[in-house]
Amino acid sequence: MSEISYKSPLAATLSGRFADKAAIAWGRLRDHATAIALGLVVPLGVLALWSYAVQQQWLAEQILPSPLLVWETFFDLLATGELQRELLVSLGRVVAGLVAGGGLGLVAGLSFGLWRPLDIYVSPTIRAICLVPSLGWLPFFMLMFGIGEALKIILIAKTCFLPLMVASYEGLRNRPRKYDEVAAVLELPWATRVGIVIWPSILPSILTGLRLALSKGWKALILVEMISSAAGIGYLMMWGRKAFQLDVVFATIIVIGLVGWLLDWALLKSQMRATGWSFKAVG
Amino acid sequence: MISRRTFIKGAAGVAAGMLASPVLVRAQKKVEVIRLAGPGNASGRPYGSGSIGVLRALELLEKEFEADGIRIEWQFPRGTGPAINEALANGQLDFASYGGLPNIVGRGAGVPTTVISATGNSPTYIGARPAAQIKTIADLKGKKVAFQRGTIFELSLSRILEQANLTNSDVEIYDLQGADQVAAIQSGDVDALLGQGNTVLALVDKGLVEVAYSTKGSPAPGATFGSFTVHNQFRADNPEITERVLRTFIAASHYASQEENREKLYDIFALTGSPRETYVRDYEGDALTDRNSPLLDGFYRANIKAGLDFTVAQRLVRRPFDLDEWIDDSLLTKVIADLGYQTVWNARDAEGKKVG
Repeated sequence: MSEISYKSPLAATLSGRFADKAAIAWGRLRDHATAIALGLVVPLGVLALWSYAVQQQWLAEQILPSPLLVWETFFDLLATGELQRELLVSLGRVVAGLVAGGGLGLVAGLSFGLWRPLDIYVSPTIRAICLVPSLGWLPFFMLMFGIGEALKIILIAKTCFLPLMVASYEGLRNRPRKYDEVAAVLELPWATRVGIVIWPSILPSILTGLRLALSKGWKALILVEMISSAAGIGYLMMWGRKAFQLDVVFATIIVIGLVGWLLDWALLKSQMRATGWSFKAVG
Repeated sequence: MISRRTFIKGAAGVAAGMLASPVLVRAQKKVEVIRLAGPGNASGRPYGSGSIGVLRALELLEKEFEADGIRIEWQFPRGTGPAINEALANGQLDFASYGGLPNIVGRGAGVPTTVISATGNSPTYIGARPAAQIKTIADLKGKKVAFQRGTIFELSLSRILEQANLTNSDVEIYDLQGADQVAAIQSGDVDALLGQGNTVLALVDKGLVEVAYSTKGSPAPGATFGSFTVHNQFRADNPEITERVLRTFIAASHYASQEENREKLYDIFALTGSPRETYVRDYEGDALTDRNSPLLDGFYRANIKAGLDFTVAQRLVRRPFDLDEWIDDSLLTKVIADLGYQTVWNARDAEGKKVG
């Protein structure tokens, strides 16, 4: 291990274990720094290309604003509190939609996985309904639920439903049979079996489904906010377009991307924490 | 990285240089196509109302430029004014007839256009769901109002509300397009909508809304107005063609201002897909010369000034610009004189009263 070389003689004499830990922490920090630096290569490249395009006037300045202006607008939106306010509205909607749709998807997936007749009779219909894109449902949903909060949350819920349904169903179907055999041999009671054998074995799959649901829900939210809304980050973006202030549009696009990425990253981290064993098993 | 200021300066310098040497630029290319746009309609048909609708439907430009082998390309985007601004900025349009507010917003953002004619006025209607109990302007307070944002109705609403000492932030605004507005009114999610006669009156006929207020029959603040603009680059490159396009546009305005054409006008406007009957009622009792006047008179300028003040206050326009420089009536005056139309339209003052 290369970390050894960072061990100071003092640390070595004090406590080998402490030094080892410090070295591991340092190594991790360095790995993180490298990962971040590598991750920034492409965005910085895009930024450079963007600046160059503006400087060379490849597009009218009204269409492609300079990165500097977008940066200023971003801070302007932060300073007035507009960005935080709209973002909060959007996050509230996506959480509500995820809980409602994801929860139902989980229940549906588990029921289909556990009860065969339901899987045979009901599941094909539900899957077919879910495979019509959200945008396709929008005109109908608008007439059914109006254009209020209900519409947005239902549309996000619809989007979040399928990933979690599929994930929990597949998780249940594909988990290794040997777990059940071990549980049977140990003659574990039903509740214990569910708690320490079945649930942990499908959790990785469910958490992956949750990540997928969240990222899909976030995208659906932006879409519905652009079409019918009076608040939210998607609305702010649409308003920027109507007001012909493309710097607002660019600033919100970047925020939408960053927030989406952060949500996914946070879920991935908690997924690793909760079911790290499954990652290790694969690796 | 260059700052925005130096960038604008540079761009302005280039533009000024091009203006200064029109002969040199003109010699470079021959015009093969003239591209025009007007506000689109809910049905998406490539037709319009008002003077631009007549110009399009009678194919006056197509005839004018047939001998020169110049094609005419029309766009009537559903995104109306904001979409027209984008096309102008992208250099995809040469002329456009659209609402005063997006017009101002576009110029404020630096879209290089010049106003060469007005496009007339239309009443604004507020249609309200009967159950919403909206009878006066003051009743709109706290209500949900739908219209397409970024269009002239943004300004209309503000000017209508100010009569009851209200502002746009006293109502809840929903940014919806045509079909979605109908759905929202039907489901009761929205209490009122703002629009021109062809949209609102069509909903009245369906029993969905009642007219709670309209600016019809008076030059009351809040009526819509628009401009016919030319892209500065096109004008600098092609001064003769610009003049011929304007002359043809004024011929269309003239056609749309003659009482004997009234019934034919309704037929032309109905090509947009809105019921003919809505235009009949919208125009009922109004003098055609008032509705389709191309004059850049005191009334037009007062409306544009109010629009600029509003857009600056709403931060839709970040830097005010010189209106007198933007509105250029020299070509219009010449064309009207050439055609002998000096007495067709009455100039109006800032309040909308006829002068002279």
